[in-house]
Amino acid sequence: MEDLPADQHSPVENDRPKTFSMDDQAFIEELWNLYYSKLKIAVAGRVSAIRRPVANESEIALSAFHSFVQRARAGQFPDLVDQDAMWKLLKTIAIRKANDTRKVLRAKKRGGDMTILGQSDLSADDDRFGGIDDAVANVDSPSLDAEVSDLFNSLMAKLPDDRHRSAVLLKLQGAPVVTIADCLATSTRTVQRLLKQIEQRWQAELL
Amino acid sequence: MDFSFDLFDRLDQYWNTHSGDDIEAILQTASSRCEPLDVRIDLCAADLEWRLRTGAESLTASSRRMAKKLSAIPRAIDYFKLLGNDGNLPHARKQLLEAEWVARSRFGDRPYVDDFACQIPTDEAWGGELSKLLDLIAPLRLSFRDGHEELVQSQVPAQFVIGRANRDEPDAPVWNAKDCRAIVANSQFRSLSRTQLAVRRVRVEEIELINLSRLIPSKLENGVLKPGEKTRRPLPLTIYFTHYHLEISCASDVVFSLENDV
Repeated sequence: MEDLPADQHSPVENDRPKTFSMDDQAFIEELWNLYYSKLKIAVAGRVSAIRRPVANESEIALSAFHSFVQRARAGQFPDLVDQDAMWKLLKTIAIRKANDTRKVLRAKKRGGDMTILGQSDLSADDDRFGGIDDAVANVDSPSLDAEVSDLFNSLMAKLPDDRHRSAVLLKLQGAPVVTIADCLATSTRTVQRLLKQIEQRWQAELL
Repeated sequence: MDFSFDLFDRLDQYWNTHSGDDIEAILQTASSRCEPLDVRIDLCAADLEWRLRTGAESLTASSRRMAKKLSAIPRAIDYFKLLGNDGNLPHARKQLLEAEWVARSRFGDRPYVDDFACQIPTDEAWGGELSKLLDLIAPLRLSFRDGHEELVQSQVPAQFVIGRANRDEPDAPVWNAKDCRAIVANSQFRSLSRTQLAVRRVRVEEIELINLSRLIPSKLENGVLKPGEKTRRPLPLTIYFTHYHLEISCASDVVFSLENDV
């Protein structure tokens, strides 16, 4: 591509740029505004079909645009005269880059045809995959705290005596069965029986 | 609610106050109420444990006569007759023996698994079951160390092997839970056998080590185990290898879960 005087270029005038220079920053910016979004849309379907979270249509469009500018500056596109040809060329470069990305990311060593879902694949509309936005925070809400506390108190109230309640509280504090037996002045066998019975009773209550 | 708890309360009262009904009277009550056999076995197990913990030498006045020829250590055999005809059932005897094993390992003289397993010679797998019961009381811990730094720690079963990695195994240091193998060297490290040492827990705080290698000795904390040799060592024990050393210990501060605690 030959460099022409800066005052002569116009990439969009009458759909036919008469003259343009790839060293002109303003001209490249104009091309960018005109084609970048279109390129992204053009390759979005192919990128989505790669089914890899790391595949990104923005990066492919950017890379295609960068290649186009570099190669135009190197004079590899001497016949590029109108906007239509320029768009076709850009689109072809972008599609080839998308295909290359697909080859790399879907290589056998990277899982082959296995589908790997990314965040963009997960939407709240799909009941199966809610995405990270729908993940429950690792912090209990005050309402959940209150609910669990009420449930625990009601289960404890239904135990027959303080001995049972003490066994549960000690167990929940992490005391080994020997310690519980010492505290309750009983045998470990009795403690095991007691805890087993409470477990069965609570399971029946909760089901 | 399980009404048999009043029987356990009576037993606790007997041992706490030394008054009231003893195990013999409580078992008679349980029999008259047609309590299930497992309740009566648990009562016997609880009584056996009380005897071990309080150091009582024998049972009641009547059963003392019966137990006169027995040793001072409380035994499951003391209770076979107290259970009547049910005391002759193999599974009842086995449960009582296991109760004795657990109680003696936890509170008593900590017998060896081989000595204890002789009581049911027909059941060859029982020794393994007894070892598993030890794992529930106080699990074995294996710690891979590089100097003072702990690299990997894992709870391990009563029997496992230490050696270098097989071709399909990950690099050292790693615990291969599927094959019960502690891997202390990579596959290409030929100065260690793939099955260098066999470890077997023989009592709560003691393990048996066998050097399975034909040529390579193993360096232990207090000496060297030559190829083909066998030794028993108390825990904790450190075994030295070229790259790492292993510390085998017995967890005494374990918090037992509701399900697996015995």
